[in-house]
Amino acid sequence: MKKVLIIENSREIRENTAEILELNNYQVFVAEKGSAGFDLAKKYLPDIILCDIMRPETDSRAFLSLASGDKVIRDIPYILFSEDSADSQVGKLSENKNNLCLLSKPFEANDLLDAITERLDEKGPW
Amino acid sequence: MPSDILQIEKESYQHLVENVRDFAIFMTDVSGYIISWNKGAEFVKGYTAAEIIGKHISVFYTPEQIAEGVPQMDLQITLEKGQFEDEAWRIRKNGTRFWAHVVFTLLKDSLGNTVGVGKVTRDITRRKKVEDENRRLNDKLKDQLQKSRSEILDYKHALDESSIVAITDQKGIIHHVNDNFCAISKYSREELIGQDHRIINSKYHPKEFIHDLWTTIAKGKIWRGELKNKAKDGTFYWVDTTIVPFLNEKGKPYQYLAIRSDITKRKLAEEQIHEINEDLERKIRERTLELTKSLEREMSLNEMKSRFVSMASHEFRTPLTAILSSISLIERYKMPDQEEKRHKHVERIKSSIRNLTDILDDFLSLDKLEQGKIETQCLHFDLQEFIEDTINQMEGMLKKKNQEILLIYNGPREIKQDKKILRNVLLNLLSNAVKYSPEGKIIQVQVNGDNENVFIAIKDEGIGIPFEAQQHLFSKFFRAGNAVNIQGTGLGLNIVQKYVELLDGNISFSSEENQGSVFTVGFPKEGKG
Repeated sequence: MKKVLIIENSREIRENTAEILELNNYQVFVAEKGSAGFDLAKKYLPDIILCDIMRPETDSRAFLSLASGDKVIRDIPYILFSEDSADSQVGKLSENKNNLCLLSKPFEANDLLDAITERLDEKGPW
Repeated sequence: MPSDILQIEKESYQHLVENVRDFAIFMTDVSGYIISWNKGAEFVKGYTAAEIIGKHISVFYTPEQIAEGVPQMDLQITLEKGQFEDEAWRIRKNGTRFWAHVVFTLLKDSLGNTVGVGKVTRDITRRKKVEDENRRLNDKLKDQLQKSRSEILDYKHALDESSIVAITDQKGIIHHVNDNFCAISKYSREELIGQDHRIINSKYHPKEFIHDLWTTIAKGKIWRGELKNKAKDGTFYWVDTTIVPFLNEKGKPYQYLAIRSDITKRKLAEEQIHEINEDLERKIRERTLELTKSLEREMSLNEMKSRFVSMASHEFRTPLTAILSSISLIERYKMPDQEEKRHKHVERIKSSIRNLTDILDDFLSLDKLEQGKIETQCLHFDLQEFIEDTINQMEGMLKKKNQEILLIYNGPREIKQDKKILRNVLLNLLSNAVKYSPEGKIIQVQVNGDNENVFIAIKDEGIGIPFEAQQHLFSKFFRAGNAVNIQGTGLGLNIVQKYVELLDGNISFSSEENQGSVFTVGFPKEGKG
């Protein structure tokens, strides 16, 4: 079972996303804040991390800077929730741009699932 | 006197007479026939003694004189009076004329008998010429003097006619003023003479200006300038002024002539033009300021717009994402036993839609407030009942976070205010207290009042407002640094403040980060409108 970590500020989105993923046989960990998310990532080493970066001020971004400084975590693929795919700031958020993709809100459940599958497939078979 | 001495003297005298060259000295008999002739006579008249002795004196006269009988008359006068002196033309042997000074003297012997006439003639042509020239020059001078005197008078007349004239001594004491001076200054001549120009000082010109005037003329130089003077009746007039120093032989001024002309009209016109220009400049400045302001408004509007877009984008996307994902989940929960899950997501959708509606309501309220479209409608009502009712409306929100509102009521019962606006204010502040307080906390509402005002304080034990954020708290779209993870448009307090203003009230707060905040709204018991 693949492990997914969700770092999302909005309770409704956090819970709904977790619910969707669980229904699709993922093991899900959730965090409201970036710092807690980083701790969970260290603890459970998820296969993929979903992180909301909607607002520049949110501490989800703090997670990204922590993550990119960590040898293990920084190689985990991300999916970033953003306001739109043209967010120019996203590029600055991760040193390893190859392992991140953007998903703009609001998104369909299928789009999310496809994006996750795609990222995990790219990583290669386990 | 001894006779020999007399004899010697006589001889010497005769010798002297004979040899005088500048004077023709000769004698005639009583009829005018020449009986003696000296060297001088020969020199002056050109005849030798031999040629002339025995001739009548009329040969020396001009034909005109002879025609008039002048020779006889001259002799006759001499005979009658004993002496006759004259200046007249005479003719030399060679026919040339000379101007002669002649003295006829009747000669008598010791017994008193007339023996003849002595005549002394001097050629004074040169002297006469000089005298004539002198006279001519004198006359010319007199003439010129007369002319220039009348010219000066003409000038003076012209000056008096055209200008305002004053003459002062070297100390500035007025010695002379003309009629124009009196007319424009409205002082009489008597009032002016003996005074200095301070009598018409307008105090308009700076000290340096007057100082410069005096240094210029004291150096003997002409000063020109425009002066503002004050007339006796307190009115002001402007004069174009030329002050000409009159210098003594040492080159020092002993008096000053001031020639002025009235330029009041021109100055007034200038002042008017100046005023018009100033007015124009002021208008241009104002207009520029207006444009700058409207530009700033435009810019702040633009900034507002971009902040709005950014805020709206986020605030809309979050509930929309929740809605979309809840719908996806409802689609999956198709089994009858999954009713509870479906219900949860339907509720979540409803709540998200309410959330969107609230945001829209905020926008609409703000728009109405900013356009001044909201008018207050004050009605009498029971304040305590009203507040309790409003608190009850918060129940749903409170339950979710396990919070409680405690009401301490010390206010008046009946007041007259706009209920709708007041409810908006209270709901906004209460939902903030709920939103920014952790679960399980108590929110305190305290109502107080005095004779005129009501005060409602809403106290929470929430996250508080960071000090640096406090001054911006009522700004549109502003979110404090510790609130960015909590949903919100940044419009609530801006709207509350505007609403409170509509109630003729005010809002204040005190807060400490992580301790909580107290918002106090004060407004009159009897609202207008």
